[in-house]
Amino acid sequence: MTDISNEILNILKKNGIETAEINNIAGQISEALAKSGIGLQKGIRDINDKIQQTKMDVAAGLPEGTVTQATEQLDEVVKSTEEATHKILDAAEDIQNICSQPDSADKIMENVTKIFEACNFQDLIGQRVHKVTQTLSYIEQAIGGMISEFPDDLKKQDTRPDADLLNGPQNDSQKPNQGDVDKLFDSI
Amino acid sequence: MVDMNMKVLVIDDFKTMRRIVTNLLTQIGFKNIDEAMDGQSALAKIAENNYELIISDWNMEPMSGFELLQKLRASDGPMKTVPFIMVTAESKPENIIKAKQAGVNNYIVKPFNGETLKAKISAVLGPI
Repeated sequence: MTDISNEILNILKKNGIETAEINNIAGQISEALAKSGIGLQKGIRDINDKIQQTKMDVAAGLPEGTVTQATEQLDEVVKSTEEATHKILDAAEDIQNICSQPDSADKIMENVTKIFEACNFQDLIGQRVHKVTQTLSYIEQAIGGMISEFPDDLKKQDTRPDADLLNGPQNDSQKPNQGDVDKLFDSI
Repeated sequence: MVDMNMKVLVIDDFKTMRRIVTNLLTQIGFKNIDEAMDGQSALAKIAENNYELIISDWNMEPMSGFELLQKLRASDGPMKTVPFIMVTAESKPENIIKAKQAGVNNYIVKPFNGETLKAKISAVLGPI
């Protein structure tokens, strides 16, 4: 802002304006620029405060755990694929044991090898999903509150009549088993 | 005894899940299995076929399995009472209650196995 003041002063001098008058104008310009600078900083601070307050208000108004739901879902994906992988490996090892018996087909062994190789996917997926989880967690926190400031017609709306019932799979620790479901179903 | 030649409709937006359910139904002995990818396309197929068993996911777009169930139960004709089994990841009590109140015949939560599927179908249609 000092550079702008000096530039303006130089222009005024070139146009023959008196030094005293220039000093007076310079003082007024500097004061105005300082005020706008302070104003800009205050404006940015006000916006940031608003964002932080909005985020807190949104978090208070959301069902518990909503902000972390997406990352938890991905963690569950990793867990589920790990469990599935172990099941596949167990089956493959059983087949391998059968192969030690006479007349067992070479093809069984060949398929076992393919199954073992296919199970490599779980490790790669786990690494990829972990990266996504970290990124998603950061993004969720950064934009969660700001989205709530959008007018309603800009927010994506689920227009299906049963949208309030669509929660998706629960975490394994909270999910009922089929027996629990049957008990409730039969009691209605 | 259950007629294993009856027309069955499997509805799920994931092709893999449709494949799994269809394979399990084939293992159980069903021979006439059709597929749809959501409630809306299922309605179109239902209008042209007399399905005697529907096995449906819940969460699909543009029409969910629940909305499809409601439409069938509100309709006139044979599809009003078609046996309808929900196979879904939606496992909260409110979902189970609403589905039962809407007229679902049985409710299976994912993941599930062939034994469960056979047991729930038998509970609706009779011994297989």
